[in-house]
Amino acid sequence: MDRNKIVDTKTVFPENINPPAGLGQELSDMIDSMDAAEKLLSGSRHAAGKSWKYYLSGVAAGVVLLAGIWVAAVMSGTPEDTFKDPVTAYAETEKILESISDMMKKGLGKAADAEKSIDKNIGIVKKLY
Amino acid sequence: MEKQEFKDIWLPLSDGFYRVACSILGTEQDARDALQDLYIRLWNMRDTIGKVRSPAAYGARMIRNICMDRLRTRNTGLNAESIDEISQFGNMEQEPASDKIMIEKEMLCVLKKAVAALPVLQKTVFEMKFFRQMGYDEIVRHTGLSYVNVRVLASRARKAVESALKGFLY
Repeated sequence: MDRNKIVDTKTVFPENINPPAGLGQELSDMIDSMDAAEKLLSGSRHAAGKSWKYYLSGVAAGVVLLAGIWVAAVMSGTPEDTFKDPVTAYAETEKILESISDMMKKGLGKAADAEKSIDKNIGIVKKLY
Repeated sequence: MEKQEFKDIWLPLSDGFYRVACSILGTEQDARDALQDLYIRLWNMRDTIGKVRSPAAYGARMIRNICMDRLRTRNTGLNAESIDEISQFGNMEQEPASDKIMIEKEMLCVLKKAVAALPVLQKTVFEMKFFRQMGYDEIVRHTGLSYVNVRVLASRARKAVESALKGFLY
């Protein structure tokens, strides 16, 4: 063969050369190997990245826990009283309870009206049937 | 591009590419090496060459360039005219660097040795799982082993091979 002559084959392949048997299978096996290696290596890289995430998560969880313990320690003291004088405190409590009671009366009144209306409508329905 | 799609497009052209390589390089061994280089490059570029209209023409140009590179490095005494003719074919766009091809070939060699060194059952399960991409259920049906056994064998084999390939990890 004259190596000084460049063969411009374009897409027309030389016909006078016979490829060896099993060439396609050899290439197919090589592609399988490359694919397997890629998957193995990308799996290992992913696992290494994941371990860093677990480490950071652990550190973050520890910081949150410590902060929580600190806050609990600071806030665990007895809350301060809002009133110094017990008589005044009692009077204020009574006032609040009375206003709650008034609101409940109004609510109960409305519930009674609603009940009357429902009974009336049930009576109408019963008459029809 | 998935593996099977790549094989369906490029493997049927391998005989033609081999003939081109052999007609330029002159020996079967050199032509096989050049063909191996070609398919490693094509595999590494598979995500970008999906839209190539004529894989035959594209691959033929690549294999010619690979062969010319080999002839140049082999220093077979080409005359100046021939070198000008060689340069007419120009460089392919965005081909992987030669050192990357060398690393890839070395990795394949290491992988082959690592798989060959596995115990028989591990090797069988490994090839089915990672080369032929069979599912665990399918492997259980083929081998007659239990599901747990197959998973354990696959895991051990994978760790052994990963350990051999760890030099290529970073």
